Amino acid sequence: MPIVNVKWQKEKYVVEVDTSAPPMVFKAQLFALTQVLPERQKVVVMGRTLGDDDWEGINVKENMTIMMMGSVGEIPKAPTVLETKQQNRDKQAEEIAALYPTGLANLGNTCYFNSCIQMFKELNELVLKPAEETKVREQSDRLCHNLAVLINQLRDKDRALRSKGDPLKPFGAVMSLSDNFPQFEKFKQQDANECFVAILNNITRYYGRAGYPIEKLFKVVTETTSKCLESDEIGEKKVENHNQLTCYVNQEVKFLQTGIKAGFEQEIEKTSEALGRDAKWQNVSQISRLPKYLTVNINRFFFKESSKTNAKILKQIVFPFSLDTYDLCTPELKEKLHARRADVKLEEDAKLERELRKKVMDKDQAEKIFDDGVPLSTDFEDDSGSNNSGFYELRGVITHKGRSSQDGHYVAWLRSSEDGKWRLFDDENVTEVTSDDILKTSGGGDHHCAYILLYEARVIKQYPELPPAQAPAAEETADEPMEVSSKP
Amino acid sequence: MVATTQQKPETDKKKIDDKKGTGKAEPKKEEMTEEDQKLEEDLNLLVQRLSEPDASLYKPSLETMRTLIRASTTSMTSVPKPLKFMRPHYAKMKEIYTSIVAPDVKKLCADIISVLAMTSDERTDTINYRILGSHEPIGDWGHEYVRHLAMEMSEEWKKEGTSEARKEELIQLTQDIVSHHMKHNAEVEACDLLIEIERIDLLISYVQEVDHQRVCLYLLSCAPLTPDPDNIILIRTALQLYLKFNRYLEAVRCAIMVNDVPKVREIFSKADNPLLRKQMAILLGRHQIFLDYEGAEDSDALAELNSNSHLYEYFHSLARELDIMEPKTPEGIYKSHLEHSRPFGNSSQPDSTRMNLAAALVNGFVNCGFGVDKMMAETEEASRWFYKNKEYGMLTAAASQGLIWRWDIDTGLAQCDRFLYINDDYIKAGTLLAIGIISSGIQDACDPASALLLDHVQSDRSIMRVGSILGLGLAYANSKRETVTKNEERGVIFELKKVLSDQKPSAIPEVKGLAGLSLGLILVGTADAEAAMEMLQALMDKSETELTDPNMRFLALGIALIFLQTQDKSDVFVESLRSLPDPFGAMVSTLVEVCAYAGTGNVLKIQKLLHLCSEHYETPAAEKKTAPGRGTRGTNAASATNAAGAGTATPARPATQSVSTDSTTTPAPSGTPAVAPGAPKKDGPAGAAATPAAPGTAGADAAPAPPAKPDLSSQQAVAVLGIGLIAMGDDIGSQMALRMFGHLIRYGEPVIRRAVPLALSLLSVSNPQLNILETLSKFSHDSDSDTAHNAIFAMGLVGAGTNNARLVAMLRNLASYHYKDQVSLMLVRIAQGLTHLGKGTMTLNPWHSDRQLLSPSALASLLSICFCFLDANNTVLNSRQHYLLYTLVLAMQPRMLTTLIEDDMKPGSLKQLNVSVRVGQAVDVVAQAGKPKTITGFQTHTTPVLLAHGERAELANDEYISVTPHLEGLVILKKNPDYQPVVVSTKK
Repeated sequence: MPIVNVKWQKEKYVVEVDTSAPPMVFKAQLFALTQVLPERQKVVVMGRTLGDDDWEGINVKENMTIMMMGSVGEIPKAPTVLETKQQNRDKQAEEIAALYPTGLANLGNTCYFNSCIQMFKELNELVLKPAEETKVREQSDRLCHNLAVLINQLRDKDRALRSKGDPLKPFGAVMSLSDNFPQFEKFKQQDANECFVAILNNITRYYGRAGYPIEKLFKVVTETTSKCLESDEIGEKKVENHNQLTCYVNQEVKFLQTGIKAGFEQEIEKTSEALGRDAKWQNVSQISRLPKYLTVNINRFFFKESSKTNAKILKQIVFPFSLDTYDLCTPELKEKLHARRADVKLEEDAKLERELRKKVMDKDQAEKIFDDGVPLSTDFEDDSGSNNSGFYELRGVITHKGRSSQDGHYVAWLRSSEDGKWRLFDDENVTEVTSDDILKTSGGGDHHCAYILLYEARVIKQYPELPPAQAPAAEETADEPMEVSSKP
Repeated sequence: MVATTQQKPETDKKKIDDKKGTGKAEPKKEEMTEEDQKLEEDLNLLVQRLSEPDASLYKPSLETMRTLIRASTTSMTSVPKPLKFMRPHYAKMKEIYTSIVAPDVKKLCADIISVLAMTSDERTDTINYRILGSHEPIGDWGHEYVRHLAMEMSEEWKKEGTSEARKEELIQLTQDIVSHHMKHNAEVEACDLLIEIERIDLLISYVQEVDHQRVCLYLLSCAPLTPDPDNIILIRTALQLYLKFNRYLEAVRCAIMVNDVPKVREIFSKADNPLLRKQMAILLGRHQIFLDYEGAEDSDALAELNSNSHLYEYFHSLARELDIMEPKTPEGIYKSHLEHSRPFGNSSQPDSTRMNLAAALVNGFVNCGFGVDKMMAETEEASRWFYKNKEYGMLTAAASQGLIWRWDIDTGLAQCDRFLYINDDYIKAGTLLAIGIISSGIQDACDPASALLLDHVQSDRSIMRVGSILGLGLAYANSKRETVTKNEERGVIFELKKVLSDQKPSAIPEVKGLAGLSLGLILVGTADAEAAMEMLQALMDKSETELTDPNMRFLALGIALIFLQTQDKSDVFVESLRSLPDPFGAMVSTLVEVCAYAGTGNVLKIQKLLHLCSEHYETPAAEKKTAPGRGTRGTNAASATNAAGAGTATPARPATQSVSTDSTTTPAPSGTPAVAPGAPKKDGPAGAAATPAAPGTAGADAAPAPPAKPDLSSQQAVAVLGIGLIAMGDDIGSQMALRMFGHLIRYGEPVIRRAVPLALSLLSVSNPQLNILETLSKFSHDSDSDTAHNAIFAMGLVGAGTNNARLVAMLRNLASYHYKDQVSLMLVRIAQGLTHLGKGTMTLNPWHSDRQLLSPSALASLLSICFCFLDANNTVLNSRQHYLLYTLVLAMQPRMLTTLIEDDMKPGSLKQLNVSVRVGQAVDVVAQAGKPKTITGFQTHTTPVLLAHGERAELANDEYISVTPHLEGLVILKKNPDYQPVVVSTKK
C-alpha cells in the first residue's frame, strides 16, 4: 500500500492508501484527519479529481503529493428575499439619513447665520408658521416670515429626498436680516451670538404678539441683590429677564460653571447713601426661573484697542454634557426644584436595577422591561417652558474658528432629538461626529472653540416597580433532569 | 554599423583637411619647420629613387619610407605628415607598383600604397592593396588604419556582384581586423563590422573570456535596433558566446528571449551548479515558462521554484517588512471625501450595480496577493457582496476573491471551495474563474486548476463554461507541462480545442470566443500552426454576419497570441487570414502581424502600420455613390498593405477568396508562403516585388470591382495598437511612437483617436511618465465618450501598482468630473484600483530582468485587455463581460527584490536572507569603456525591497555573491569565500 502526502490547506498529512478499496475509504481516512465531510472533499491527483467509487485513471505512486480541497462549516447561503427587502428598507433609510439633515449653502460669509439657523431648527418646540403674505407689513415681519420658511424647509425630509441633498440657499432670510438689522452687513462675517440674539428677539417679539409663548422657552429670570462691602447697606432687589446666560472668561475661569458664576457675582463701585460716597458694592445674582432651553454664550471676544478688532481668547473652558444649575438658583427656586430632583435619584436606581436584571434575563424580556420608563414633564405646572429640575443636557454648540469675531468660520454641532446622534453642520456639509469631537471644542487652541452652548432641560423618566425577579437557580434545576436523561 | 556612420563624416572631414592642408602648404612652404622640410625632401627623394630604374634600391627605399610613415604620430584631427607629403605622389606610387617585379618588394610597396590610400579619393584602394600586400600584422600601421579598413570593408561587402573568391579574401581580411579590434578593447567596432557584413558567426572564435560580457551586452542591446531576422541572429550569437564561457544563466536568458524552449532544456542539462539551476528555474518561473523537470535529480526543487509556489510567502514577507498587511477598502482608495465636494451628488446613487462591481474589482486589485481583505475574508460578508450584484456582476464579484488569494493555492482554494456548493450558477462560475486566477502562474504538481475546471468546460450551462474556460486560460498561460499539452482526454489544450467545434446549445459565441482566447494564452508565442489552423477553421465556418459578433474577435485574438513575438513564422497565417471576409479578415491579419513583431521595435513594420492609419474611410452612405473608382483603390490599399507591389496587383476580393479558401482549408503545415496564391503576398521588409502569380490572377479578375469598399476602420484601430505594441520596451522607439501618436490623435479618424490612449499606455505600462500622464489626462476629458473611457483605463495601466501621487490626484479630479456618468465613473474607480495594485507593490510591466526579457503571457494579457477596449461597448463595458478585466492577472507581478540563501539546516532548500543592497536609477552601460557604475543616485536598503521602474539594485558589500547579475525578484546568494569583514580599528 503506497504512502502518500496529503496537502490540505496549509497542513500536510502522511496517509497510507489502500488502492484496492474504493476511494471512499481513503476519503473516510481524510475525514478522520481533517473533519471535512467526504462529500465535500475534492481530492486532486495529477490534474484529476478522485471519484467516490473507483480509482479510474488515477495512478497512486509511493510518496506522491495529493491535494485535498474542502472546508469545514456551513455553505454560505444566499440572502433570502425577506432579507433583501429589509435591505432595501434599510437602504432607503440610509439614503434619507445621507440626505437629511440638509445643509445650508454659504452665500458668502454667511456661516454665522447658517450655524444659528441650524441651531434654531433643532428646537422642536419652535414651530413657526410663515406669516401670511398680507400680514407682512414691516421689515421685521418679513424677516420672521423668511426665517420660518427656511426652518420649515430644513425640517422637511421629503424636500431633502427630492432635492438629492442639494443644500438650501437662504437668500431671502439673509437679505431681510441685514435689511432689518443694518449692523449685519450683507456677506460679511458677523458675530454669531449677536445674530443669534437678534433673531431670537425678533421671533419672540413677532410670535409673542401673535400669541405664541416662545419667549418662555428661553426666559431666564434673575434676582440681583447688591450689598455694600464697606457698610452693611443692602441695595434693592432687582429682577431681570434674560435670553441667555453669559460665561465670562478671565484668568481664573476654567470651567463653564465658574465662568457663569463669575458673571453672577460682580463688584462694582456705586454711591453709598449710608457712607455718602462711592463705595464698593457686590452684586449677587440668582436665578429665579429656569427655561427649557438655556443658551450660554462663552464670552470669548474682547475689543482690542491696538488692532481695533474683537480679539478672541483661546483659553480652554471645559463645558459639561450635563449641566446642573442648582447652585445658581434662588433659595425659593431651589425649594421648588427639590421635588423633581428626587425623581432623578429614583430614575438612576431603577436604571441600575434593570441593568443588573438584564444580565440574567434573555434578550426579548430585557428589552421590554428596559424601556418602560415614562417621561415626566420638565416644566412646572403653572409655568410652561420652564425647567423644574435644574438639570440640563447639551444639545448643541456653535463654535468659532479664527482669531476675531469678524473673521474665521462658524459651524454648528448639534445633537438630533430623533436619533440622538451628533452632527456637524458646516454650511452645506453635514457629517456625523462623535461626542468626543464635541468635547474637543472646549478651546485652548486654533481648533473650533465653543462660542454658544445650547442646553435643554433633561427629561427624567419614571420607572414602574419591577416585578420580583425569578430565581435563576430554578431554571437550572428544571434543565437538569433532561440532561440526565440524554445521558444514559 | 554604428562605427561606419561615425566614420564617414570623419573621413570626409579628413579629406577636407587634407585639401586645405595641401592648399595652404604651397604658399606657406617657406614657413615649414626645418624638420618638415627635411621629411618632405627625404620622401621626395625616395619616390624619385623608386621611379628610377635601379631595382636594387627599391627595397631599401620602400623600407625607409615605411619607417618614416610608421614613425609619425597619428591623431584624429590632422593627417600624419608623411601621408600628407606623399599625397601628390599617390598616382606615381601606383605606377611604381605595377612596374616592380620582385614579389617581396612588390608586396612591400602594396602595403605602403594601402596606407597612402587612406588619404586618396579611391574608395577601395586601401583594401585592394592590403590584400595584395605582405599581410603583416594589421595593427602595425596604427589604429586609424584598421578603422579605415573596417569602414571600407562594409562598403565593399555590399557592392553588387562581388565574386565568391573576392568574398573569401575579404573575409580573411575581416578576421584580421576583428581579431585586432578584440585585442585592443574595441569589441564594439568588431561587432559592428561583423553585423555589417552579416557574418556575426565569426565573432565567437575571437571573443575572450574577459570581453564576452561586454560583447554580449552590446549584441543584446543592438538586437532591438535591427530588423528581423538579424535581431534573432544577434541574440543567438550572444547565447553561443555565453555557452562558450559557461555562463548558463545568461544563456538561458538569451534562449528565453528567442523563446526557444528546447534550447532552455539543453542548457539545463549542461549546467551542473545546483544553485545556478535553481536561479534558472526561478527566472523561468518569473517569465512564466513552466517546464517538467522529469529525470533531473533535483527535479522536485526545480519544479517547486519554477512553479512559483512559494511566491506568496516571499510576497507576504515583503508586505510585513513594509508594514502594509492591513487590508484596504475601496473607499480608502477612492478617498471620495477629498473629491471636489458635491456633498450628496455621489452618495445619491451609492449602490448602483456598476459601483458595486467596481468596488469588488478595486478591492481585488488593491488587496491582490495579500490573502486578507475586508470584503471577502469573511464568508458571510463575501456572500452578501456577491448578491449585491446581478448575474454577470456576481460572476465578476465572485472571481475577485481570486485576486485576494493570488498565488496562495493552499489557503485560497480552500476559501473558494465552499462557494462551489452554493446554489447559484453565476457565483459558481465566478468561483471557478477565481480558482484559475489563484493558480495563474502557480503550477502545482497536483494541478488543482485542471482537476476542478476541466469538469465544467463541457458543461450544459454556458455560464459555467465561461468561468472555467477563462480560468483555464489564466491558470495555464504559457505552460509547457505535460498536463497541458498532452493530446488526449483531460489535456487542457485538447479539451479547449473540443469547445471550438462544439455544437451544443451551450456553446454560444461567447464560449467559443473565450476558448479561442484561452488557447491563445496557453499557447502564447508557440507558433503552433495546428491549433491556429483549428481556430481559423472555426472562423471560416462562420458566415459574414456571424463574424460581426464581437466574440469572434477573441478567436482572432487567440490566433494572434499564438504567434506573439514569433516574427516571420507568422507570415503564412497573416496571408491566410486575409482570405476571411473584410473587414474582419483585414483586421485579423493585421492583428497577427503586429503580435508577431510585438516588442521588437521593428521600424519597417511601424511605417507600414502608419501607412494603414493614413487611409480615410467614408461613411457607408457616402461610399455607395463613389463606388467603383474609389472602391478598387480602397481594397487595394487596405488588403494589399504592401508598399511596392500594390500598384501592379489589383486583387479582386470575391474571386481570390474562393481560391484562397480552398487552399487554406487543407492544413498547410509545410509553411510555404504560397498558401493563398491569389491573395496578395505580403512584401518582405526589403521591398521585394509581388509574386508573379498575382498580376496574372488580378488581370483576369480585375473587371468586377467590389460593390463597396469595406469599412476597415477596425483594422486601423488594431494598427494603432500595433504601433504601441511593437515600439514598447525600446526607449527611443517609444519616444518616436509618442510623437506619431500625437499626430494620429490630432488628425486621425475617431476610431484611431480611440485606440491611441491604449497604445500610449502600452508604451509605458506601470511607468507613469509625466508627459504620457498629461496626454492621457487631456483625453480623459474628451467629448467623445469612448476616447475618454479608453484614456481613463489607460491611465490605470500606466500607473498600475505605483501609488503615483500625481495620478491619484488626477483620478480624483476625474471622479468628480464624471460623477454623473456611471460608466466613466466605474472606469475611474478601476483605474484608481489599478494605481494602488497590491497597495503599490506590483507592476504590470511585461519587461523584466533588466528590462531585457518580455514575458509573453504578461504581454498577452495586456494586449488582450487593450484589444477588448478597442470595442469596449461590445466587450468589457457591455455589463456582461467585465470579467475580461481579469486577463490582467497574468501581467501582475510583485516588483520586489528578495534575497535567498541555501539553508544550512536543510541542504537543498532555500531560506530568506536579508542583506543590504543599494537601489538606484539604472545607468545604460552598453559599450561604455572600463567598468562604469551601473546605478546612480542610490540608497541603501535591506532586502526585501521594492524596485521601481528603471531602478536597479546591487549588493552593498562583498559578504555575499549573487548567482545572477540581475538583482530582481528572487535572487539566490552564496557566501563569498574571500570575504573579510571590515574591522574597525579602535584607537586608544
